[in-house]
Amino acid sequence: MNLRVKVFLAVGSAFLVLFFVVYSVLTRVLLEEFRDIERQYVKENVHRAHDTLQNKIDELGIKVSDWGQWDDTYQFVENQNEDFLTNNLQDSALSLLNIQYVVITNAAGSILFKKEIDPASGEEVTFSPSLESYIQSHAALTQHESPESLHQGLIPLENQVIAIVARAITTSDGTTSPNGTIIFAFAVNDEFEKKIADTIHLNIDFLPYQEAMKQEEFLSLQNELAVAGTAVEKAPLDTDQNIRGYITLSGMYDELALVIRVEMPRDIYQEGKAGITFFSKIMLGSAIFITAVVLFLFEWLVLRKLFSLKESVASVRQYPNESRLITLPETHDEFRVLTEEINHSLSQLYTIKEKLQLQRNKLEKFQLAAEKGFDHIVITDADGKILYANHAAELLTGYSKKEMVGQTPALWGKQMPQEFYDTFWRTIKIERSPYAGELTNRRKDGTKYLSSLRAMPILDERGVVKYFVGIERDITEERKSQLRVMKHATELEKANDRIATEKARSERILQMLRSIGEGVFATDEQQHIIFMNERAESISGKSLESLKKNVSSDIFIFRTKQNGIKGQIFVSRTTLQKRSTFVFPSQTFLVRGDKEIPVSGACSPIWNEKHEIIGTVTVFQDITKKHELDQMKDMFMSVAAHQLRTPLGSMRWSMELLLGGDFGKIPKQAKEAIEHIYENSQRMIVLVNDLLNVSRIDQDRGREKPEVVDLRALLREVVQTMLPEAKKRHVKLIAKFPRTKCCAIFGSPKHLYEAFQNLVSNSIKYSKAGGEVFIELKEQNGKCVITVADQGIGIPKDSQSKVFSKFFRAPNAVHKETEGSGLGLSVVKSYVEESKGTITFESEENKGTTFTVEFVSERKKS
Amino acid sequence: MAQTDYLLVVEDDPFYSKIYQTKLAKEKIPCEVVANGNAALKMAQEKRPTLILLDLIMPEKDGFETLGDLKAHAELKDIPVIVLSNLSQEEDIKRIMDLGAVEYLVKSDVPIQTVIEKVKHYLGL
Repeated sequence: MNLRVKVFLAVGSAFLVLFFVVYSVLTRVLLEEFRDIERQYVKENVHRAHDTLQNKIDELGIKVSDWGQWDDTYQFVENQNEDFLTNNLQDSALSLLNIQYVVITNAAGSILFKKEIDPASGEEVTFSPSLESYIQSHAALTQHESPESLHQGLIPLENQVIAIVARAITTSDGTTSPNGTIIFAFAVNDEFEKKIADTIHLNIDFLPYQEAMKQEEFLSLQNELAVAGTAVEKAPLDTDQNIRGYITLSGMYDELALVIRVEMPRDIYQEGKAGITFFSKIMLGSAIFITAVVLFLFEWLVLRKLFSLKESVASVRQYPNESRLITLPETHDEFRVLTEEINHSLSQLYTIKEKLQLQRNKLEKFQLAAEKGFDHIVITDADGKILYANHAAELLTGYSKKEMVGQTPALWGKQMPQEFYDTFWRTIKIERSPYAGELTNRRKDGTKYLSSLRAMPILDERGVVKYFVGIERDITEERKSQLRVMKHATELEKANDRIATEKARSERILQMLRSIGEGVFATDEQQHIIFMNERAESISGKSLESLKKNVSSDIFIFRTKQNGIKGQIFVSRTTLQKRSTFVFPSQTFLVRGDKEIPVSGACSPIWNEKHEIIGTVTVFQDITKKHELDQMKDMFMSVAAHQLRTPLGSMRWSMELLLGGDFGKIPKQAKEAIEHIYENSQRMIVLVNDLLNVSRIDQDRGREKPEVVDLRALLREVVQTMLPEAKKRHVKLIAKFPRTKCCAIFGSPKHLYEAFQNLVSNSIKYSKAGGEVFIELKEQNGKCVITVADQGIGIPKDSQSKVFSKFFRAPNAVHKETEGSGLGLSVVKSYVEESKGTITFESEENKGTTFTVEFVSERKKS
Repeated sequence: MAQTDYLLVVEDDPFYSKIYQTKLAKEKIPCEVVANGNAALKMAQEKRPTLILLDLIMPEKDGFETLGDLKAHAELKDIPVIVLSNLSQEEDIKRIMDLGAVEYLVKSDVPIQTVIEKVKHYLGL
């Protein structure tokens, strides 16, 4: 049953109980009150009825007194004259006076006159014999002590009760003694009843006592009604039936004569009941309303938050592995405090949990350590009974844990003389000291083993033995492992020696590196300098210790001049990126302050055994002297070339003038001689140019600014230029070029022109007369491929590897053309490579040579 | 051909001077050959040549200086200058072209006929 239902039931039942208590108390008290009032009222009415009857009797008494103290009456008793009767006691008069019975007796009690009037008709009827006999039998009625004597009361007759008054008859002055009695009476019968009821507006009954006692209604009231004059009321409880009141009246001579019964509707009681019902309804309504309000308030102020808190707590429980806390409610009441308290407790719990986990982990470690330990571990209680044995113990003794637990270590012991065990137990049990020794034990399978034993008592805080821990180990194994350890130690020593040797060697190498003439520095893979030698320090003017930043490119700033543009080169970075050795371009300078020192060098990656790059090492040297020498050589070459060309040029032009006939016609032989001289001078010019080019190429200074080159147009020009030469040598030049414009590459037009002219020129030169030189250009797979093929003397196999070397000429070439610097192909190769091309050849002696040059097409690049 | 179509050759080497004079006379191209830069500048101011052929290595005032002066001169800077020299270093050629020469020819590498053709081209012949 949840809290909501409980609260609902508790509050509801509390209010219901309260309601019923109040209701029943109210009902009881109020109704009792009403009943009392009602009872009182009934009693009053009963008395009223009684009083009314009494009044009637009293009235009759007054009337009879008038008649009794009267001379005429007196006379009548004396003489019994008829006149008196006719004048005074006629029927109509009696009826008018409501006198039913009239009796006149003499002093002796003898009846002189008697008359009965029917009250309904007003006429005389036969006098009631029972009354007559009652009067005759009761002398007291007619006995008078005084002239004013009056007897009045009720007399019960057989069937009815008669109200009667009897007056002594005297003279009008009242002085004479009475001579008789005059009696007036009326029957307390139904007619009278009706009259009275009409007068006092009550439902009233006059019942003769004896008659009444015969009825069931009265039997139960017999005791109460036995006392005359006491009003009694009778009402059935909790019914709406009428309430009745009774009073018993005694007759003249103390006999119980008459019962008056008044019956009344229970107006007061019902009014009270209705009031209570109304009040109850109001109260019940209020109770329900208050219950609802209380429940609502409780829900709003408590339960809602409580359930929300419950949800939060439940959500925390959902994630047992997270250290969650409960979200604080927005209100600032006890729930917030409670939530904070819970959170506080949770935090503490988490902390405790963590601590516990830690401790468990710790403990687990110990347990595991013990369980997985190599040593046999047994824990016994103070009597030596085994509580725990680890896995190693199982292995060592051959008994399972189940077999061991509950037993004593004697299970596998009892192999030593008794004195041993006595000493053992005395040591650990009585002296409470650790024991160490060796002993022989017996495995389950019967084999014996030598064991090293360590045992110790575990004492509690009072110093009483709590447990014994025994640790055993097979010594054979231990000895073997000792041997192994010793062996390992020896090996380790050797290894240490090796390491020391290696270290010494490394240090020597390092020292060598440090002292080497070249500058050396090394970086890690982040380009941070980790080593630099003395030379590097002296060239750069920096030392490793003084460096704050140690990124190599910040320390060693290398600049190079390429295509006339100066810029820094990042040697370590480039090497790391290219994963290969980076050779400094020529014209590389190391910046030192505001000076630039010409250097040459290379940077190589450092590989480890796993073939990973772990850094770079750069070796460089100051080539200031070489640089100066180069510049001098350059200057010299320039001057030399100029000086050589000047005479050669003027010779050339002079001969051209001569051959051109500018100086007049010259004889044929002379002309031939001049032509010969002219050719030789041309050769010298080419030689001078080649020399100069080689010199420049060596210094990487002859580079042209690259631009887009149309190879088709360029080759056409080459062929056009070479045609006269080919014709002269009787060599057929065949060119095969694409029809459409194509084969654009990025390179140096002038150098490429020279390169191809050289190639074609060579092919012509080394062709036999009548041979063919085939020049083809095509673009395929993003490459521009140029082939220059001849059917000439070819290159001997053993010379092929040296073709591109400077000053090399194959023997057969020398044989065919004595002139030639041996520089041409080396220049060609340099020029092709300058434009990022490659040159290869295939050749067979006396069959011909095919040169193939390839460039990356510009179209491909874009 | 107007009176103004006139070629100035600056050449100190007597052999080359001779060749120029012979060949140009043969081609009937009106010209004057002077042996150094100073003379060349003086002559250029006096005669206002249509084209100047300029050697580089010369006594007194070399070709670089002469070309610089010519190009610095307001009235002479528009005269096209062809430099003819036996220097062939890239640096020299670049320097000359930067100074404003229209052509650079290495004397030993070109036939005299090529020179004449260039001259004729610039003279509009």
